[in-house]
Amino acid sequence: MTYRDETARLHAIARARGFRLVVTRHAEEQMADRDVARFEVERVLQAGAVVMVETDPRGRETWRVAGHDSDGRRIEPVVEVRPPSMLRLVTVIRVD
Amino acid sequence: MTHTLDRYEERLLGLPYPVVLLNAAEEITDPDTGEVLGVAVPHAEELAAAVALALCFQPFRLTGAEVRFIRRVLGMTGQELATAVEMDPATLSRWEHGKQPVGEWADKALRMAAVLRLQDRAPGFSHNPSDVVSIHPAARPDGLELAVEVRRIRPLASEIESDAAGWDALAKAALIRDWVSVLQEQAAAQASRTPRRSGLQRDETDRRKSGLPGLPAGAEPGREQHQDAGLDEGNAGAQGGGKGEAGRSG
Repeated sequence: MTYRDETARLHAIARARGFRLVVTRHAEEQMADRDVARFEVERVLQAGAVVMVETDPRGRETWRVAGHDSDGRRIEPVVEVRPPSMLRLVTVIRVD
Repeated sequence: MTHTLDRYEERLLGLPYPVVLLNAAEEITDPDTGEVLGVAVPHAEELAAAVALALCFQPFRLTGAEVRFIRRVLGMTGQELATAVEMDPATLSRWEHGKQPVGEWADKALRMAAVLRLQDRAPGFSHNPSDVVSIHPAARPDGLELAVEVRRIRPLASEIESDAAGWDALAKAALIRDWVSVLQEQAAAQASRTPRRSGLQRDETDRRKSGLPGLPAGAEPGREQHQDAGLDEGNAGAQGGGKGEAGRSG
């Protein structure tokens, strides 16, 4: 199952000229541990599909996005949407 | 709120060493709470392409990790890249994992394939693609780690009115610092540790004998020289020329 509207919004944000992917310290550590590069996450955000939507205790939505890295391995970045042009990367999950 | 960092060590490019971003990374703060949300690197795709191109024009043989980085920037699987450079995928895999050193011929073939594919993805990276043909990558001295610095210029507001100008300003700003001066700094550090002739000095001698480009004429390995004159902010044209020289030095 994918979230069509959320995926369309995600692509609009991630492909915009002023797009910023803000990487948290936690996400940075996860990316280093899991050998995922920043540009690979951005590619997934620009072309992947939202597969899970969750709401955190503060009422902010996080979207889990499915895609693949350059080796064809599945990765799933989790982002918090910060309109109009920002996504905050919470973590990156590697699905092996 | 956005605060541009003067210097930031980017470790999320997939290289085993950081790439230093000058005047480029942005620390983002929540305007409501004051909480630091994290760090953003604008236009990461173009940054990765510029760094990959810089690696293709540097004079030392690529390491396995650098080969893997270039492949990932290209967005190719090991099989696809091996096919592109007409080699055995198993050999490419052994390179990437450091189980086999990259040979000179294959190193060069890979650089040429990468430069042809990446040149349009970092439009402001001033270089002549055909220059890669004249590179004869030398063996990398033990312990020598390359340092990459990327500089970004804050464009004037009038220069970013259109998408094209914005990309151009970004591309011109994504400059790789003169490789020669970086290598000289490394050589100086190495020379200070080793009283005898260093590996880099030997390489430089070999390059001069063979007529290969390396350190500039008159430069002495082990002595730092500042060659980034003309790289001041606001002088995008001069920066492009400086980078071009750096690119052509290899």
